[in-house]
Amino acid sequence: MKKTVLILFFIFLIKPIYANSIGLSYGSSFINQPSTYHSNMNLVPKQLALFAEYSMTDKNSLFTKMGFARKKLLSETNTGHELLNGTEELSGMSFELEYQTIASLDRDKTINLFWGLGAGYYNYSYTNNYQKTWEKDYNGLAQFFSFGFSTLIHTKAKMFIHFKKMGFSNIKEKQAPSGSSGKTIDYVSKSGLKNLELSVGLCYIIN
Amino acid sequence: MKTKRFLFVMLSCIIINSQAAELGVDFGTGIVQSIETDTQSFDSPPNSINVKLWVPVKSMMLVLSTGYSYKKNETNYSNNEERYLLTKGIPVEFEILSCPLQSKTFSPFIGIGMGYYNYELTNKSYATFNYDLKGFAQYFTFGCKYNITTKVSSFIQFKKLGWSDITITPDNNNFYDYGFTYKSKYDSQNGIEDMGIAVGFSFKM
Repeated sequence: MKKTVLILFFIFLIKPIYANSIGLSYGSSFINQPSTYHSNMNLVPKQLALFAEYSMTDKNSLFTKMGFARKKLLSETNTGHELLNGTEELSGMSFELEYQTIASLDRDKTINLFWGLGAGYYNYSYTNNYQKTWEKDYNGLAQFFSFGFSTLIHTKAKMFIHFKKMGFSNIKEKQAPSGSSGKTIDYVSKSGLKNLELSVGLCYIIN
Repeated sequence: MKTKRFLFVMLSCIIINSQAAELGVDFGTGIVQSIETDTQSFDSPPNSINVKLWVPVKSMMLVLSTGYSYKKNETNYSNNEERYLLTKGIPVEFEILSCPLQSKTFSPFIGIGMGYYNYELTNKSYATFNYDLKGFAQYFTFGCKYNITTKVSSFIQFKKLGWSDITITPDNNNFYDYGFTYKSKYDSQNGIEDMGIAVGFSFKM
């Protein structure tokens, strides 16, 4: 597992040398889970991602992306006798490869729509230390669909909004032996556009 | 059988009359995707791969598509017990799209579609329960298409289920053993909760 992560990291470091643009995006992650203590609340990690774009033509691009995501929630319960508190945290890393079709809406290519397909490797962990500590891991590959639009804000910079929906997934949700039932579950995306990932980013155009 | 014959005749007519047709393939999530059963919630869409035939008729586009949908969600317990929810099936769909800019490089479209859905659901929990989802449904669709080259286009398409006559039928005796005896209609979900998305490519023939 560590070897795979290291290889992907190495590829990510080498590839941007040949990239046409590089950038940073910030948003939510499509790997999330319901909070154990806050009813009707999802633990949705906020993700910061670095990416590099390789333009195949002016209508097709490939992206490599490395993301770091984290969300921590505090819970306090007053039982009447004592104040119990604890935290739950979902955090992880992702490596993604994405193909995008880019459609320019004007001649100057100031506003562009894009959509595409991608796949990634996801390594997340959930830790809950309320009263006793227990953990679980989310590990595996997943495919996704993406769409969004970008605007040119400078000759060397563009801004974009990016939506992502998980399709096929091989991600396993594995509870550590200290977890409540020690089982392995397929992580599945919710139906419709319920778990759409949204991110906003800035891109620096190298050439 | 009648449905198959009807679809075959319709497909033949379209192919014969399609001089400017495009053949496409898309990959996405379907609109029939989430049912609540007595034992489990199938709150996850099957992924599907579809073959599409696009036929331009003036500013409209007729689209015929069929494919295969599949999804298996497994749960493995530490005592080696395995439970799963399996959804598989074949959708056959026909769409009428309005594409006023279809001769341009960038062409948005909106339309209406009708499909026949033949799905099987297997829920292996403490016992194995099988369901059939069969029937016709209508949907709304929108998206856009973009010519990457003179021969190849890429498109993104969204779909939302409207009227549905899909029937969920339990097809084995386990239901009666466990006291479940129901047959129900599949209905669309609120808002965008069951919206399908597909990304694909089409090739001019």
